Amino acid sequence: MAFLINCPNCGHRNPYEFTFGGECKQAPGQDADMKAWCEYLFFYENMPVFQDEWWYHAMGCGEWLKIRRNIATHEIVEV
Amino acid sequence: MTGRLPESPTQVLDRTRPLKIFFDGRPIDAFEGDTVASALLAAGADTFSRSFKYHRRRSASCLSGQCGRCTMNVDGRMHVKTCQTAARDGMVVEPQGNLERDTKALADSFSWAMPTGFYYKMFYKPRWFWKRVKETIRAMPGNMGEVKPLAARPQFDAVNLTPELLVVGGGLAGMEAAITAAQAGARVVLAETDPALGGFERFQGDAGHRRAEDSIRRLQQHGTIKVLTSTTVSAIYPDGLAVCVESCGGDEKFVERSHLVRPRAMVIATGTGSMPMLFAHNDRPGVLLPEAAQRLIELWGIEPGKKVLLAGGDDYLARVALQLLDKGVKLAGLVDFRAGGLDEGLGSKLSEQGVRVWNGYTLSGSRGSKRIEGATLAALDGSDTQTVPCDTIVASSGRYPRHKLLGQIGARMVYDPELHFYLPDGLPATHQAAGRLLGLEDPEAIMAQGRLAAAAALQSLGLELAAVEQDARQQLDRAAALQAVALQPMLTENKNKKKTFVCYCHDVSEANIEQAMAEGWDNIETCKRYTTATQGACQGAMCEANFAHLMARKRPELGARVLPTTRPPVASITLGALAAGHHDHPQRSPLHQVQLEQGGQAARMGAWMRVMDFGDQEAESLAVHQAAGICDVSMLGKFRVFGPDAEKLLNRVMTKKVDNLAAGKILYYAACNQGGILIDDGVALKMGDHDYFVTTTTGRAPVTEEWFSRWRREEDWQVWMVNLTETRAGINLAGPRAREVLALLTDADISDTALPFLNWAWLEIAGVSVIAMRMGFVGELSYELLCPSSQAVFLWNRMLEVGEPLGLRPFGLEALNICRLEKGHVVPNVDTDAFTTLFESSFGWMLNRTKTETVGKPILDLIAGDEFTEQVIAFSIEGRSPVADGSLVVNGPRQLGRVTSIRYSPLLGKTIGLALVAPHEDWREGGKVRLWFDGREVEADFAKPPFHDPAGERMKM
Repeated sequence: MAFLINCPNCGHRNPYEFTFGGECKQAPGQDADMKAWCEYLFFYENMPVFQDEWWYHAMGCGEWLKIRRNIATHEIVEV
Repeated sequence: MTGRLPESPTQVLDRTRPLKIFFDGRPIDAFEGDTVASALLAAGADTFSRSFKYHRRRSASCLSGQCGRCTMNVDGRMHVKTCQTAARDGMVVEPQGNLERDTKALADSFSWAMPTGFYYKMFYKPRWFWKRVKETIRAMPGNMGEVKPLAARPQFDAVNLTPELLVVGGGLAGMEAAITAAQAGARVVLAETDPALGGFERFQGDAGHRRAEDSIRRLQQHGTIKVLTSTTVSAIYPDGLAVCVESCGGDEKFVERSHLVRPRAMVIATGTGSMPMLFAHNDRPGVLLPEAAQRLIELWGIEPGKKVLLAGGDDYLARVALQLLDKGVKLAGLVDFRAGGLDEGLGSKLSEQGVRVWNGYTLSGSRGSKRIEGATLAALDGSDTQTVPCDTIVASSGRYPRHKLLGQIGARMVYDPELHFYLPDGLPATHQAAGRLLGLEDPEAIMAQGRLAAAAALQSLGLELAAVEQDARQQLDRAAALQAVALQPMLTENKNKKKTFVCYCHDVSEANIEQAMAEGWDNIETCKRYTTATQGACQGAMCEANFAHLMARKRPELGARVLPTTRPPVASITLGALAAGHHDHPQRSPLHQVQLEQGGQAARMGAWMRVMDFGDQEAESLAVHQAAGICDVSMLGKFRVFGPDAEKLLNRVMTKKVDNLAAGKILYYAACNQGGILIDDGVALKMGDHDYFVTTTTGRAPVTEEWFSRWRREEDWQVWMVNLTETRAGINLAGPRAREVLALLTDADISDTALPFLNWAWLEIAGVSVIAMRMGFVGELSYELLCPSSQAVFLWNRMLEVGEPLGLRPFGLEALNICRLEKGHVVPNVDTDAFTTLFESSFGWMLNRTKTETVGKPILDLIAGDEFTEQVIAFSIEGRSPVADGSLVVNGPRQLGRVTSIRYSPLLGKTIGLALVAPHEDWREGGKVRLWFDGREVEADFAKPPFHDPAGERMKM
């Protein structure tokens, strides 16, 4: 993959070391209806701009990172 | 073309080391230093491959890895570029398809039936026609080869490099850039496609050779330059990752090595290539590019032909002619399409040697069957045509930058109508271009430009190189006057456009492109897709410039010439090179080796190597029912979860509540994801205050770790987990006599009252401290003993030793499977899939209905009571059945689901199994389950598990 993730524990690493955990999203409340849950579980914003994402350093320190990444250019601004 | 020219310093052959390769079964003599293609050419081979669509004869035409026409099967590997592969003694080379008697060559006569886009037009309607002919048509393309099993699996390597500067291209400019950077203290990687440095100068006669040697000597003085030869940079990605694939030499263990280079700056000095000339039958064997002719005589001492005709429009071609004469090659003449004609000095030199020069003429066609036999010339003003006998045509209509990597960096190639050349625009400061790529011809200018490029690239990183840059700029200014750019592309009208090939890879002719443009595909991007020109194996290396020129000439109103977008990879790349570096290391349990020694048969199961059986899975399963057995269950995921918020985390991820878990009790739990899908089951033990020991199913340890820590991180809970999977081995001791076996190894009270079912205790067994859990996975009295990994082998052997007189034997995964099927135990992710909810998987009883924080609970509440969309059912067949895991469950023509686990139970005398199926009215007592296996239907009886000991008394003994 054509970008690196600067893991706070391990330094710049190849994203192949990580598991992608999807967009950071707020789960619906306990009483939310099926529609809200489906939206949450199966739909993504997936806009070609910066978004917050979860990445798990599976082949590294085993930490979950919140990353702000531009999904069009792979530019990462915040880890 | 047999025999070799006398030795010269430019040659790369070691004539003291002859070797033999085998081509199509025939031995062929070659020397160390030969490539496969040069050895074949020296032996007189003409046809190297058959073309894609029309099965026309094709021969190596560039000898530099560009044209892709020389690909063959080498030592069992398909599509190997023979011109880039060093010949090794005993190498087996086979053409891909029948070169001499190719029956499909009839397609050439039916080219009228294959207009542009014929596969879109002809097979759309009627549908039955496509069905009838598709297999035939798919078998048609030429040079496709055949996949054959290889004797040994080829190995690929991957290396990560992070230099300050990557230089692509090891010619004069590239070497100069590398030296400049090394002098400034930078670490440099220099990648060169050819097996040796020197680039274009390698084959520019003795003078060029000396220049190259001099640069190489200066380069070698710098230890900070890593030189990669035989290495193609196939892609540069947006963050600067350059994938450089090295073709390894014969002594290496690896076939190819991927260098994943992440430089901070780059100099691209990939040079130029010659454009093939467009004339009728311009693809016949014997048509060569000028560099190929130069390489043949200078590097390998091979005459390109007995009578060579040269054709083109620049003085470079005249120099090639003089070079050929110098080596004693006979020329049929030189055709120069420029109105002004050839440079007078060069022209008179040629006529002195008796070479006929046609000024203002061009090639219009060629003759010959297996190889060129003659050429037709035409005056550009149409006043005259002539035929010239010759056996080789060295033709090029101009030079063209190898620009592909620049495009990947984000540069645009802009056509300069004065120079008739494309120049890059919009390169970032850290990425510089240098050398012939920029249209330079003079060696001094090229070297100065290389220094300039390195200085500019490194200055953008903050290194101080202003003096070097200024110096280089001055030299470049002085040398610029010497620049002799004559790169005029030439296209001529000829009568047989159908056989005037633009794209050789896909047999796209000038007529095809005219037709496509007439149909409205007159933008280069759409025309390219419609005709598939530039989309073949060479990725446009041969045809792109001609394609762009042709389109621009036919539709001048469309404006400036543009090149199609370039994308990675530049050259074809093997899947092995892409996968390199991902090494597969199955995990082995601490008991793996000892079980193999005791007759265990191992197989790969997910991440683990597991022992499947000890020779007789059925006897092993019977031993578990009748006496006792031990099985390696070290693969269970094992975790310590502790901290003040441990309960919060466990309550979140488990369907059950841990708060009331008493010491010594086992909590059996299931786990769901947020969609209410069953993902795992396991047990939790309370070890102390806020301190738990948790197991997961086999192979799930890494996923569980990820899943648990996600929740911890989302909530910022004070809880930690330690993965103990590999520090604790597991032995499952099961069978009615299990307690007797255990009693022989411990003084502890292990009676049913002291350690009842679903309880656990720390025990000392044979001196080893273990966590002993009374579980019921196999349906018999059973202890799961978790011991330190280092003592597992000792404990295993001690148990065998004392147990054998009681009938104890080791059992493998297969026997374990039989026993759990007899109990009807569902294994998550084996008997369920990513759509099976907790309820559907029959684990619904494990959901704590009052606990709200459980992952997936909101969804489970919403779907509770809904009809199932799928469910797990059990079935049985009398006696033995061959039906295997994965067979379909059917009802007439409808597929209802699939068999997830099926085994023969010797205890029951039945074949029993579980299936994941859609709901159906037959899933009731007395109903039939129809399985589809091996092309026929097998009937099974619906059953309600467990098959064995329904009351569950045996595991509670």
